[in-house]
Amino acid sequence: MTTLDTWLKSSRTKNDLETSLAREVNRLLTVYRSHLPSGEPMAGGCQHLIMRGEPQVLLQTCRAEALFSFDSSKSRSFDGMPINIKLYILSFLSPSDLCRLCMTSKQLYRLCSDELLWQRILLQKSRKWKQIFDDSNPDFYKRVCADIPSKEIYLRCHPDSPGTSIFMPKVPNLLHYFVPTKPKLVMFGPGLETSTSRLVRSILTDQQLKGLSDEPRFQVTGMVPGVFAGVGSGISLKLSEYAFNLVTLYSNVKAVRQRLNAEDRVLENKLFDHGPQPEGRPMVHDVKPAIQELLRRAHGFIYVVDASRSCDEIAMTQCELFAMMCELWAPSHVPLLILACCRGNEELVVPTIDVVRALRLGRLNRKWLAQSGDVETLSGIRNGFRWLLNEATGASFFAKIR
Amino acid sequence: MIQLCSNDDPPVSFTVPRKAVELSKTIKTMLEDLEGFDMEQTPIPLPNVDAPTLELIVKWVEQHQDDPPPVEKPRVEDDDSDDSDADDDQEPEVVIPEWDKKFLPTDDEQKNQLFKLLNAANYLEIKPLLDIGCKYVADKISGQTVEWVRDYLNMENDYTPEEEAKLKEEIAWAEGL
Repeated sequence: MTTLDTWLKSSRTKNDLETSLAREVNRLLTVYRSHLPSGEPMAGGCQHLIMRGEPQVLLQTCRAEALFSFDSSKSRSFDGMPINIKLYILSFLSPSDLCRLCMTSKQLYRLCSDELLWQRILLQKSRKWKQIFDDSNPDFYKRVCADIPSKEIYLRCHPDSPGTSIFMPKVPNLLHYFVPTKPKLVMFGPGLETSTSRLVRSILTDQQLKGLSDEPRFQVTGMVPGVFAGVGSGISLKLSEYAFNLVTLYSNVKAVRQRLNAEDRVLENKLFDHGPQPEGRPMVHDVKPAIQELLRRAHGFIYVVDASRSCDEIAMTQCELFAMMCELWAPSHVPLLILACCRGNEELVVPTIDVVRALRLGRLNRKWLAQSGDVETLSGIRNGFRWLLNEATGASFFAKIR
Repeated sequence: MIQLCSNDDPPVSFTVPRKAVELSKTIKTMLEDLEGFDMEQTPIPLPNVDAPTLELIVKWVEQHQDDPPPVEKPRVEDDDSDDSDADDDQEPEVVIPEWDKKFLPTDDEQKNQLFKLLNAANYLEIKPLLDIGCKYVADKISGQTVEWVRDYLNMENDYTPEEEAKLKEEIAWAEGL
Protein backbone atom coordinates (compact mmCIF):
# COMPACT_ATOMS: atom_id res chain seq x y z
CA MET A 1 0.00 0.00 0.00
CA THR A 2 2.74 2.40 -0.71
CA THR A 3 1.11 3.39 -3.98
CA LEU A 4 -1.09 6.00 -2.33
CA ASP A 5 1.94 7.64 -0.89
CA THR A 6 3.74 7.75 -4.17
CA TRP A 7 0.90 9.17 -6.17
CA LEU A 8 0.19 11.75 -3.54
CA LYS A 9 3.74 12.95 -3.99
CA SER A 10 4.04 12.53 -7.70
CA SER A 11 0.76 14.00 -8.89
CA ARG A 12 0.95 17.71 -9.18
CA THR A 13 -2.36 19.05 -10.34
CA LYS A 14 -5.74 18.33 -8.94
CA ASN A 15 -6.78 16.66 -12.16
CA ASP A 16 -3.91 14.22 -11.96
CA LEU A 17 -4.84 13.55 -8.39
CA GLU A 18 -8.43 12.85 -9.30
CA THR A 19 -7.61 10.40 -12.07
CA SER A 20 -5.04 8.56 -10.04
CA LEU A 21 -7.36 8.39 -7.06
CA ALA A 22 -10.11 7.01 -9.28
CA ARG A 23 -7.67 4.42 -10.57
CA GLU A 24 -6.67 3.53 -7.04
CA VAL A 25 -10.27 3.20 -5.91
CA ASN A 26 -11.01 0.95 -8.86
CA ARG A 27 -8.07 -1.24 -8.00
CA LEU A 28 -9.22 -1.54 -4.41
CA LEU A 29 -12.73 -2.34 -5.60
CA THR A 30 -11.38 -5.24 -7.65
CA VAL A 31 -9.50 -6.53 -4.64
CA TYR A 32 -12.62 -6.11 -2.54
CA ARG A 33 -14.83 -7.93 -5.04
CA SER A 34 -12.54 -10.93 -5.15
CA HIS A 35 -13.11 -11.44 -1.40
CA LEU A 36 -16.88 -11.51 -1.73
CA PRO A 37 -19.17 -14.33 -2.78
CA SER A 38 -20.48 -13.33 -6.20
CA GLY A 39 -23.81 -11.51 -6.36
CA GLU A 40 -23.71 -10.26 -2.79
CA PRO A 41 -24.37 -6.53 -2.45
CA MET A 42 -21.40 -4.41 -1.50
CA ALA A 43 -22.43 -2.69 1.71
CA GLY A 44 -20.22 0.20 2.55
CA GLY A 45 -18.28 -0.31 -0.62
CA CYS A 46 -14.61 0.36 -0.70
CA GLN A 47 -14.63 2.24 2.55
CA HIS A 48 -15.83 -0.82 4.34
CA LEU A 49 -12.79 -2.76 3.26
CA ILE A 50 -10.43 0.00 4.16
CA MET A 51 -11.91 0.49 7.62
CA ARG A 52 -11.85 -3.19 8.36
CA GLY A 53 -8.49 -4.01 6.93
CA GLU A 54 -5.76 -1.49 6.82
CA PRO A 55 -5.62 1.45 9.21
CA GLN A 56 -2.70 2.96 7.34
CA VAL A 57 -4.72 3.23 4.15
CA LEU A 58 -7.55 4.75 6.14
CA LEU A 59 -5.39 7.59 7.31
CA GLN A 60 -4.11 8.29 3.85
CA THR A 61 -7.58 8.30 2.32
CA CYS A 62 -8.66 10.80 4.93
CA ARG A 63 -5.75 12.97 3.94
CA ALA A 64 -6.69 12.67 0.31
CA GLU A 65 -10.23 13.73 1.20
CA ALA A 66 -8.92 16.71 3.10
CA LEU A 67 -6.94 17.61 0.03
CA PHE A 68 -10.06 17.65 -2.08
CA SER A 69 -12.18 19.65 0.30
CA PHE A 70 -9.32 22.02 0.91
CA ASP A 71 -6.29 21.84 -1.24
CA SER A 72 -3.70 23.11 1.18
CA SER A 73 -0.97 23.26 -1.42
CA LYS A 74 -3.14 25.65 -3.38
CA SER A 75 -4.24 27.81 -0.49
CA ARG A 76 -0.75 29.20 -0.39
CA SER A 77 -1.06 30.94 -3.72
CA PHE A 78 -3.30 33.59 -5.17
CA ASP A 79 -4.59 31.09 -7.67
CA GLY A 80 -5.97 28.79 -4.98
CA MET A 81 -7.97 31.41 -3.19
CA PRO A 82 -11.75 31.49 -3.36
CA ILE A 83 -13.08 33.78 -6.05
CA ASN A 84 -14.67 36.12 -3.53
CA ILE A 85 -11.29 36.98 -1.99
CA LYS A 86 -9.74 37.53 -5.39
CA LEU A 87 -12.53 39.87 -6.41
CA TYR A 88 -12.35 41.63 -3.07
CA ILE A 89 -8.66 42.32 -3.60
CA LEU A 90 -9.35 43.59 -7.10
CA SER A 91 -12.11 45.84 -5.81
CA PHE A 92 -9.46 48.02 -4.18
CA LEU A 93 -7.72 48.65 -7.49
CA SER A 94 -8.17 51.53 -9.88
CA PRO A 95 -9.64 51.05 -13.38
CA SER A 96 -6.19 51.54 -14.93
CA ASP A 97 -4.73 48.85 -12.68
CA LEU A 98 -7.53 46.49 -13.65
CA CYS A 99 -6.97 47.15 -17.34
CA ARG A 100 -3.28 46.48 -16.95
CA LEU A 101 -3.82 43.29 -14.94
CA CYS A 102 -5.85 41.92 -17.82
CA MET A 103 -2.49 41.33 -19.47
CA THR A 104 -1.29 39.02 -16.73
CA SER A 105 -3.20 35.89 -17.60
CA LYS A 106 -6.51 34.75 -18.99
CA GLN A 107 -7.81 33.91 -15.57
CA LEU A 108 -7.02 37.38 -14.29
CA TYR A 109 -8.54 38.84 -17.44
CA ARG A 110 -11.86 37.23 -16.55
CA LEU A 111 -11.64 38.37 -12.96
CA CYS A 112 -10.64 41.91 -13.91
CA SER A 113 -13.62 42.14 -16.24
CA ASP A 114 -16.12 41.06 -13.63
CA GLU A 115 -19.48 42.75 -14.15
CA LEU A 116 -20.18 43.58 -10.51
CA LEU A 117 -16.71 45.03 -10.10
CA TRP A 118 -17.23 47.40 -12.99
CA GLN A 119 -20.80 48.23 -12.08
CA ARG A 120 -19.48 49.60 -8.83
CA ILE A 121 -16.67 51.46 -10.57
CA LEU A 122 -19.06 52.96 -13.10
CA LEU A 123 -21.44 54.03 -10.36
CA GLN A 124 -18.75 55.69 -8.29
CA LYS A 125 -16.34 57.04 -10.88
CA SER A 126 -18.94 58.47 -13.21
CA ARG A 127 -19.80 60.88 -10.41
CA LYS A 128 -16.38 62.42 -10.81
CA TRP A 129 -16.58 62.99 -14.56
CA LYS A 130 -16.51 66.60 -15.60
CA GLN A 131 -17.64 66.05 -19.16
CA ILE A 132 -20.49 63.93 -20.43
CA PHE A 133 -21.44 63.98 -24.09
CA ASP A 134 -24.68 62.94 -25.69
CA ASP A 135 -22.97 59.78 -26.92
CA SER A 136 -20.91 59.16 -23.80
CA ASN A 137 -23.84 59.11 -21.42
CA PRO A 138 -23.65 55.81 -19.51
CA ASP A 139 -27.38 55.85 -18.85
CA PHE A 140 -27.95 55.85 -22.58
CA TYR A 141 -26.02 52.61 -23.01
CA LYS A 142 -27.74 50.98 -20.07
CA ARG A 143 -31.14 51.87 -21.45
CA VAL A 144 -30.55 50.96 -25.06
CA CYS A 145 -28.57 47.76 -24.74
CA ALA A 146 -29.06 46.27 -21.32
CA ASP A 147 -26.61 43.45 -21.87
CA ILE A 148 -23.58 45.58 -22.60
CA PRO A 149 -21.00 44.98 -19.85
CA SER A 150 -20.34 47.82 -17.44
CA LYS A 151 -16.63 47.65 -18.20
CA GLU A 152 -17.31 48.47 -21.82
CA ILE A 153 -19.66 51.29 -20.89
CA TYR A 154 -17.04 52.70 -18.58
CA LEU A 155 -14.27 52.52 -21.15
CA ARG A 156 -16.46 54.02 -23.85
CA CYS A 157 -17.89 56.82 -21.77
CA HIS A 158 -14.83 57.85 -19.83
CA PRO A 159 -13.89 61.44 -20.72
CA ASP A 160 -10.38 60.32 -21.75
CA SER A 161 -11.62 57.54 -23.97
CA PRO A 162 -10.43 57.85 -27.57
CA GLY A 163 -14.06 57.43 -28.64
CA THR A 164 -15.06 60.76 -27.12
CA SER A 165 -12.23 63.10 -27.94
CA ILE A 166 -13.56 66.60 -28.36
CA PHE A 167 -10.82 68.21 -30.31
CA MET A 168 -11.00 67.20 -33.90
CA PRO A 169 -8.18 68.09 -36.25
CA LYS A 170 -8.18 71.68 -37.38
CA VAL A 171 -10.22 72.58 -40.40
CA PRO A 172 -8.32 73.95 -43.38
CA ASN A 173 -8.80 77.68 -43.69
CA LEU A 174 -10.68 77.35 -46.96
CA LEU A 175 -13.52 75.58 -45.25
CA HIS A 176 -14.15 78.62 -43.10
CA TYR A 177 -15.76 80.24 -46.15
CA PHE A 178 -18.60 77.78 -45.95
CA VAL A 179 -19.26 78.00 -42.28
CA PRO A 180 -20.69 80.97 -40.39
CA THR A 181 -17.87 83.34 -39.69
CA LYS A 182 -19.18 84.44 -36.35
CA PRO A 183 -21.40 81.86 -34.75
CA LYS A 184 -24.01 83.17 -32.37
CA LEU A 185 -24.23 81.41 -29.05
CA VAL A 186 -27.28 81.87 -26.87
CA MET A 187 -26.76 81.41 -23.16
CA PHE A 188 -29.55 81.06 -20.62
CA GLY A 189 -30.57 79.04 -17.60
CA PRO A 190 -31.05 79.26 -13.86
CA GLY A 191 -27.33 79.20 -13.12
CA LEU A 192 -27.06 82.74 -14.49
CA GLU A 193 -29.24 83.96 -11.67
CA THR A 194 -27.77 82.31 -8.59
CA SER A 195 -24.38 82.44 -6.94
CA THR A 196 -22.83 81.26 -10.19
CA SER A 197 -24.06 84.39 -12.01
CA ARG A 198 -20.46 85.53 -11.84
CA LEU A 199 -19.89 83.42 -14.94
CA VAL A 200 -20.65 86.27 -17.33
CA ARG A 201 -18.41 88.71 -15.51
CA SER A 202 -15.61 86.15 -15.41
CA ILE A 203 -15.86 85.67 -19.16
CA LEU A 204 -15.78 89.42 -19.76
CA THR A 205 -12.76 89.99 -17.54
CA ASP A 206 -10.93 86.80 -18.44
CA GLN A 207 -8.19 88.50 -20.41
CA GLN A 208 -7.23 90.83 -17.58
CA LEU A 209 -6.67 88.08 -15.06
CA LYS A 210 -3.22 86.73 -15.58
CA GLY A 211 -3.29 83.14 -14.53
CA LEU A 212 -0.52 80.62 -14.51
CA SER A 213 -1.93 78.40 -17.22
CA ASP A 214 -1.41 79.39 -20.83
CA GLU A 215 -4.87 78.14 -21.77
CA PRO A 216 -6.45 80.39 -24.41
CA ARG A 217 -8.63 83.03 -22.79
CA PHE A 218 -11.81 84.88 -23.67
CA GLN A 219 -11.21 88.26 -25.33
CA VAL A 220 -13.91 90.89 -25.70
CA THR A 221 -13.87 92.38 -29.20
CA GLY A 222 -17.06 94.42 -29.27
CA MET A 223 -20.77 94.67 -28.73
CA VAL A 224 -23.64 93.37 -30.88
CA PRO A 225 -26.88 95.33 -30.97
CA GLY A 226 -30.14 93.52 -30.35
CA VAL A 227 -32.29 92.68 -33.33
CA PHE A 228 -35.78 92.08 -32.05
CA ALA A 229 -37.35 94.45 -29.58
CA GLY A 230 -34.33 94.72 -27.41
CA VAL A 231 -33.74 91.00 -27.32
CA GLY A 232 -30.52 89.52 -28.56
CA SER A 233 -27.95 92.18 -27.84
CA GLY A 234 -24.71 90.59 -26.93
CA ILE A 235 -20.96 90.67 -26.84
CA SER A 236 -18.42 89.74 -29.49
CA LEU A 237 -15.77 87.50 -28.09
CA LYS A 238 -12.73 85.57 -29.16
CA LEU A 239 -11.48 82.32 -27.75
CA SER A 240 -8.29 81.01 -29.35
CA GLU A 241 -9.02 80.85 -33.10
CA TYR A 242 -12.79 81.20 -32.70
CA ALA A 243 -14.64 84.51 -32.90
CA PHE A 244 -18.24 84.45 -31.77
CA ASN A 245 -21.16 86.45 -30.43
CA LEU A 246 -22.56 85.61 -27.06
CA VAL A 247 -26.14 86.52 -26.24
CA THR A 248 -27.23 86.11 -22.66
CA LEU A 249 -30.89 85.70 -21.78
CA TYR A 250 -32.07 86.38 -18.27
CA SER A 251 -35.48 85.38 -17.03
CA ASN A 252 -36.20 88.74 -15.49
CA VAL A 253 -34.80 92.09 -14.55
CA LYS A 254 -32.24 91.91 -11.82
CA ALA A 255 -34.39 93.27 -9.00
CA VAL A 256 -37.10 90.67 -9.61
CA ARG A 257 -34.62 87.82 -10.13
CA GLN A 258 -33.13 88.23 -6.74
CA ARG A 259 -36.30 87.69 -4.77
CA LEU A 260 -37.69 84.69 -6.64
CA ASN A 261 -37.13 81.07 -5.71
CA ALA A 262 -36.70 78.29 -8.22
CA GLU A 263 -40.38 77.47 -8.65
CA ASP A 264 -41.61 81.03 -9.02
CA ARG A 265 -38.74 81.67 -11.34
CA VAL A 266 -40.27 79.46 -13.99
CA LEU A 267 -43.72 81.05 -13.57
CA GLU A 268 -42.40 84.59 -13.73
CA ASN A 269 -39.93 83.88 -16.50
CA LYS A 270 -40.05 86.72 -19.03
CA LEU A 271 -38.80 84.42 -21.78
CA PHE A 272 -42.12 82.62 -21.75
CA ASP A 273 -45.71 83.54 -22.53
CA HIS A 274 -47.77 82.06 -19.79
CA GLY A 275 -51.18 81.32 -21.17
CA PRO A 276 -54.12 80.80 -18.85
CA GLN A 277 -53.55 77.56 -17.01
CA PRO A 278 -56.17 74.97 -17.99
CA GLU A 279 -57.84 73.27 -15.07
CA GLY A 280 -55.92 70.23 -13.83
CA ARG A 281 -53.34 70.32 -16.59
CA PRO A 282 -49.68 71.04 -16.27
CA MET A 283 -48.55 74.56 -17.05
CA VAL A 284 -47.73 75.20 -20.67
CA HIS A 285 -44.63 77.25 -21.35
CA ASP A 286 -44.56 78.97 -24.68
CA VAL A 287 -41.42 80.77 -25.64
CA LYS A 288 -42.04 84.39 -26.57
CA PRO A 289 -41.98 85.11 -30.33
CA ALA A 290 -38.96 87.40 -30.13
CA ILE A 291 -37.02 84.72 -28.25
CA GLN A 292 -38.15 82.11 -30.76
CA GLU A 293 -36.65 84.15 -33.57
CA LEU A 294 -33.43 84.53 -31.69
CA LEU A 295 -33.19 80.80 -31.05
CA ARG A 296 -33.82 80.05 -34.73
CA ARG A 297 -30.77 82.08 -35.67
CA ALA A 298 -28.47 80.63 -33.04
CA HIS A 299 -25.56 78.32 -33.83
CA GLY A 300 -25.14 76.98 -30.34
CA PHE A 301 -26.97 76.94 -27.03
CA ILE A 302 -25.58 77.14 -23.53
CA TYR A 303 -27.68 76.15 -20.57
CA VAL A 304 -26.21 77.19 -17.26
CA VAL A 305 -27.12 75.42 -14.03
CA ASP A 306 -25.79 75.96 -10.55
CA ALA A 307 -24.32 72.64 -9.47
CA SER A 308 -24.12 73.73 -5.86
CA ARG A 309 -27.92 73.55 -5.70
CA SER A 310 -29.74 70.31 -4.94
CA CYS A 311 -30.57 67.76 -7.61
CA ASP A 312 -34.29 68.42 -7.08
CA GLU A 313 -33.85 72.09 -7.74
CA ILE A 314 -31.96 71.36 -10.94
CA ALA A 315 -34.63 68.88 -11.97
CA MET A 316 -37.26 71.58 -11.50
CA THR A 317 -35.65 73.68 -14.22
CA GLN A 318 -35.85 70.84 -16.70
CA CYS A 319 -39.11 72.17 -18.21
CA GLU A 320 -37.39 75.48 -18.90
CA LEU A 321 -34.64 73.75 -20.86
CA PHE A 322 -37.03 71.58 -22.83
CA ALA A 323 -39.34 74.51 -23.62
CA MET A 324 -36.40 76.46 -25.03
CA MET A 325 -35.07 73.44 -26.89
CA CYS A 326 -38.38 72.73 -28.65
CA GLU A 327 -37.52 71.87 -32.24
CA LEU A 328 -40.09 74.34 -33.61
CA TRP A 329 -37.61 77.14 -32.90
CA ALA A 330 -34.39 75.44 -31.87
CA PRO A 331 -33.22 73.36 -34.87
CA SER A 332 -32.10 69.94 -33.78
CA HIS A 333 -28.69 70.16 -35.47
CA VAL A 334 -27.68 73.04 -33.22
CA PRO A 335 -25.52 71.75 -30.38
CA LEU A 336 -26.19 72.38 -26.71
CA LEU A 337 -23.64 72.89 -23.98
CA ILE A 338 -24.78 72.37 -20.42
CA LEU A 339 -22.56 74.12 -17.94
CA ALA A 340 -22.82 72.69 -14.44
CA CYS A 341 -21.21 75.55 -12.60
CA CYS A 342 -19.81 75.90 -9.17
CA ARG A 343 -17.97 78.67 -7.43
CA GLY A 344 -14.70 77.66 -5.84
CA ASN A 345 -15.21 74.60 -3.67
CA GLU A 346 -15.75 71.76 -6.12
CA GLU A 347 -16.26 69.10 -3.49
CA LEU A 348 -19.79 70.02 -2.54
CA VAL A 349 -21.33 70.04 -5.97
CA VAL A 350 -23.78 67.71 -7.66
CA PRO A 351 -21.82 65.29 -9.89
CA THR A 352 -22.14 65.97 -13.59
CA ILE A 353 -23.77 62.58 -14.12
CA ASP A 354 -26.56 63.59 -11.72
CA VAL A 355 -27.09 66.84 -13.60
CA VAL A 356 -27.45 64.79 -16.78
CA ARG A 357 -30.06 62.65 -15.05
CA ALA A 358 -31.92 65.52 -13.37
CA LEU A 359 -32.27 67.38 -16.65
CA ARG A 360 -33.11 64.14 -18.48
CA LEU A 361 -30.69 65.05 -21.23
CA GLY A 362 -31.01 61.55 -22.65
CA ARG A 363 -34.33 62.61 -24.14
CA LEU A 364 -32.89 65.51 -26.13
CA ASN A 365 -32.67 65.10 -29.85
CA ARG A 366 -29.46 67.03 -30.45
CA LYS A 367 -25.75 66.93 -29.77
CA TRP A 368 -24.93 67.94 -26.25
CA LEU A 369 -22.12 68.06 -23.77
CA ALA A 370 -22.53 68.38 -20.03
CA GLN A 371 -19.44 70.05 -18.66
CA SER A 372 -18.74 71.06 -15.11
CA GLY A 373 -16.70 74.14 -14.43
CA ASP A 374 -15.73 76.78 -11.95
CA VAL A 375 -17.08 80.28 -12.55
CA GLU A 376 -14.13 81.89 -10.79
CA THR A 377 -11.30 80.31 -12.72
CA LEU A 378 -13.36 79.28 -15.79
CA SER A 379 -11.58 75.95 -15.70
CA GLY A 380 -13.65 73.44 -17.63
CA ILE A 381 -15.80 76.24 -19.00
CA ARG A 382 -13.31 77.25 -21.72
CA ASN A 383 -13.18 73.59 -22.73
CA GLY A 384 -16.95 73.50 -23.01
CA PHE A 385 -17.02 76.65 -25.15
CA ARG A 386 -14.38 75.23 -27.46
CA TRP A 387 -16.40 72.07 -27.95
CA LEU A 388 -19.51 74.11 -28.68
CA LEU A 389 -17.69 76.40 -31.13
CA ASN A 390 -16.11 73.43 -32.79
CA GLU A 391 -19.53 71.85 -33.24
CA ALA A 392 -21.27 75.12 -34.12
CA THR A 393 -18.89 76.02 -36.92
CA GLY A 394 -19.31 72.60 -38.40
CA ALA A 395 -15.64 71.98 -37.90
CA SER A 396 -16.23 68.58 -36.39
CA PHE A 397 -18.51 67.71 -39.29
CA PHE A 398 -15.86 68.57 -41.86
CA ALA A 399 -13.28 66.74 -39.84
CA LYS A 400 -15.40 63.63 -39.99
CA ILE A 401 -16.06 63.64 -43.72
CA ARG A 402 -12.46 64.29 -44.50
CA MET B 1 -11.25 30.41 27.20
CA ILE B 2 -11.73 28.50 23.99
CA GLN B 3 -9.35 26.00 22.43
CA LEU B 4 -8.68 26.03 18.72
CA CYS B 5 -6.90 23.19 16.89
CA SER B 6 -4.98 23.44 13.67
CA ASN B 7 -5.24 20.88 10.88
CA ASP B 8 -1.70 19.60 11.45
CA ASP B 9 -0.85 16.08 12.37
CA PRO B 10 -0.72 16.07 15.37
CA PRO B 11 -2.95 19.16 15.76
CA VAL B 12 -1.50 22.19 17.49
CA SER B 13 -3.95 23.81 19.86
CA PHE B 14 -4.22 27.41 20.99
CA THR B 15 -6.16 28.77 23.94
CA VAL B 16 -7.89 32.04 23.18
CA PRO B 17 -10.25 34.25 25.26
CA ARG B 18 -13.82 33.82 24.11
CA LYS B 19 -14.21 37.52 23.45
CA ALA B 20 -11.27 37.47 21.05
CA VAL B 21 -12.34 34.32 19.28
CA GLU B 22 -15.76 35.80 18.64
CA LEU B 23 -14.22 38.21 16.17
CA SER B 24 -14.59 35.24 13.87
CA LYS B 25 -18.18 35.12 12.75
CA THR B 26 -17.88 31.46 11.87
CA ILE B 27 -16.81 30.50 15.38
CA LYS B 28 -19.19 32.97 17.01
CA THR B 29 -22.15 31.46 15.19
CA MET B 30 -20.98 27.98 16.08
CA LEU B 31 -20.64 28.86 19.75
CA GLU B 32 -24.09 30.39 19.74
CA ASP B 33 -25.52 27.26 18.13
CA LEU B 34 -23.88 25.11 20.75
CA GLU B 35 -25.10 27.22 23.65
CA GLY B 36 -25.43 24.99 26.70
CA PHE B 37 -22.52 22.71 25.92
CA ASP B 38 -19.36 23.23 27.84
CA MET B 39 -17.26 24.64 25.06
CA GLU B 40 -14.39 25.45 27.41
CA GLN B 41 -13.55 21.77 27.47
CA THR B 42 -14.07 20.95 23.79
CA PRO B 43 -11.33 21.96 21.42
CA ILE B 44 -12.65 23.30 18.10
CA PRO B 45 -10.92 21.70 15.12
CA LEU B 46 -10.23 24.01 12.20
CA PRO B 47 -9.62 21.69 9.24
CA ASN B 48 -8.69 24.54 6.90
CA VAL B 49 -6.05 26.28 9.00
CA ASP B 50 -2.51 25.16 9.68
CA ALA B 51 -0.49 25.99 12.81
CA PRO B 52 1.57 28.97 11.57
CA THR B 53 -1.56 30.56 10.13
CA LEU B 54 -3.60 29.85 13.24
CA GLU B 55 -0.88 31.39 15.35
CA LEU B 56 -1.16 34.59 13.31
CA ILE B 57 -4.94 34.56 13.57
CA VAL B 58 -4.77 34.14 17.34
CA LYS B 59 -2.26 36.97 17.62
CA TRP B 60 -4.50 39.22 15.58
CA VAL B 61 -7.76 38.51 17.41
CA GLU B 62 -6.09 38.96 20.77
CA GLN B 63 -4.76 42.33 19.70
CA HIS B 64 -8.10 43.45 18.33
CA GLN B 65 -10.51 41.94 20.85
CA ASP B 66 -11.33 45.33 22.35
CA ASP B 67 -11.92 47.10 19.05
CA PRO B 68 -15.33 48.73 18.77
CA PRO B 69 -17.52 46.57 16.55
CA PRO B 70 -17.73 47.84 12.97
CA VAL B 71 -20.77 50.00 12.32
CA GLU B 72 -23.19 48.09 10.18
CA LYS B 73 -24.86 50.63 8.01
CA PRO B 74 -28.14 49.74 6.38
CA ARG B 75 -27.71 48.64 2.79
CA VAL B 76 -29.09 51.16 0.35
CA GLU B 77 -31.10 49.49 -2.32
CA ASP B 78 -29.42 50.47 -5.53
CA ASP B 79 -31.57 49.43 -8.37
CA ASP B 80 -30.62 51.53 -11.33
CA SER B 81 -33.47 53.96 -10.96
CA ASP B 82 -32.15 57.46 -11.21
CA ASP B 83 -32.57 58.45 -7.59
CA SER B 84 -30.34 61.31 -6.76
CA ASP B 85 -29.73 60.56 -3.09
CA ALA B 86 -27.24 57.78 -3.72
CA ASP B 87 -24.68 60.34 -2.63
CA ASP B 88 -23.08 58.41 0.17
CA ASP B 89 -22.68 55.00 -1.43
CA GLN B 90 -18.98 55.63 -1.25
CA GLU B 91 -17.74 52.78 0.89
CA PRO B 92 -15.57 53.76 3.85
CA GLU B 93 -11.94 53.55 2.92
CA VAL B 94 -9.98 50.68 4.43
CA VAL B 95 -7.05 51.96 6.43
CA ILE B 96 -4.41 49.52 7.68
CA PRO B 97 -3.54 50.39 11.31
CA GLU B 98 0.12 50.69 12.31
CA TRP B 99 0.08 47.55 14.43
CA ASP B 100 -1.39 45.53 11.57
CA LYS B 101 1.19 46.85 9.14
CA LYS B 102 3.89 45.30 11.26
CA PHE B 103 1.81 42.22 11.90
CA LEU B 104 1.03 41.23 8.33
CA PRO B 105 3.55 38.85 6.74
CA THR B 106 4.73 41.45 4.30
CA ASP B 107 8.08 40.16 3.09
CA ASP B 108 7.95 38.85 -0.43
CA GLU B 109 9.19 35.46 0.78
CA GLN B 110 6.25 35.36 3.15
CA LYS B 111 3.60 36.09 0.57
CA ASN B 112 2.38 32.51 0.67
CA GLN B 113 1.77 32.93 4.37
CA LEU B 114 -0.16 36.08 3.58
CA PHE B 115 -2.39 34.25 1.13
CA LYS B 116 -2.94 31.47 3.63
CA LEU B 117 -3.90 34.08 6.21
CA LEU B 118 -6.42 35.63 3.84
CA ASN B 119 -7.87 32.23 3.13
CA ALA B 120 -8.23 31.53 6.83
CA ALA B 121 -9.72 34.95 7.53
CA ASN B 122 -12.24 34.26 4.82
CA TYR B 123 -13.07 30.82 6.17
CA LEU B 124 -13.35 32.10 9.73
CA GLU B 125 -15.22 35.21 8.55
CA ILE B 126 -13.00 37.76 10.24
CA LYS B 127 -14.06 40.68 8.09
CA PRO B 128 -11.69 43.37 9.41
CA LEU B 129 -8.68 41.10 8.94
CA LEU B 130 -9.83 40.18 5.45
CA ASP B 131 -10.29 43.90 4.72
CA ILE B 132 -6.80 44.95 5.66
CA GLY B 133 -5.22 41.87 4.09
CA CYS B 134 -6.93 42.34 0.76
CA LYS B 135 -6.21 46.06 0.85
CA TYR B 136 -2.57 45.27 1.51
CA VAL B 137 -2.33 42.92 -1.48
CA ALA B 138 -4.16 45.46 -3.65
CA ASP B 139 -1.77 48.25 -2.63
CA LYS B 140 1.11 45.96 -3.41
CA ILE B 141 -0.17 45.19 -6.91
CA SER B 142 -1.34 48.71 -7.69
CA GLY B 143 0.85 50.53 -10.18
CA GLN B 144 3.14 47.53 -10.78
CA THR B 145 4.15 46.16 -14.12
CA VAL B 146 2.44 43.15 -15.61
CA GLU B 147 5.58 41.03 -15.21
CA TRP B 148 5.91 41.94 -11.56
CA VAL B 149 2.30 41.04 -10.81
CA ARG B 150 2.65 37.79 -12.71
CA ASP B 151 5.59 36.88 -10.54
CA TYR B 152 3.97 38.06 -7.33
CA LEU B 153 0.73 36.19 -7.91
CA ASN B 154 2.51 33.20 -9.34
CA MET B 155 0.67 33.28 -12.63
CA GLU B 156 1.67 31.99 -15.97
CA ASN B 157 1.37 34.05 -19.09
CA ASP B 158 -1.04 31.99 -21.17
CA TYR B 159 -1.48 34.49 -23.98
CA THR B 160 -0.09 33.99 -27.44
CA PRO B 161 2.14 36.85 -28.61
CA GLU B 162 -0.61 37.94 -31.02
CA GLU B 163 -3.22 38.05 -28.29
CA GLU B 164 -0.84 39.95 -26.09
CA ALA B 165 -0.11 42.57 -28.73
CA LYS B 166 -3.80 43.05 -29.40
CA LEU B 167 -4.62 43.49 -25.73
CA LYS B 168 -1.78 45.92 -25.29
CA GLU B 169 -3.17 48.08 -28.04
CA GLU B 170 -6.66 47.98 -26.58
CA ILE B 171 -5.66 49.13 -23.13
CA ALA B 172 -2.92 51.57 -24.10
CA TRP B 173 -5.06 54.62 -23.55
CA ALA B 174 -6.44 53.32 -20.27
CA GLU B 175 -3.16 53.90 -18.44
CA GLY B 176 -4.23 57.27 -17.15
CA LEU B 177 -7.71 56.38 -15.92
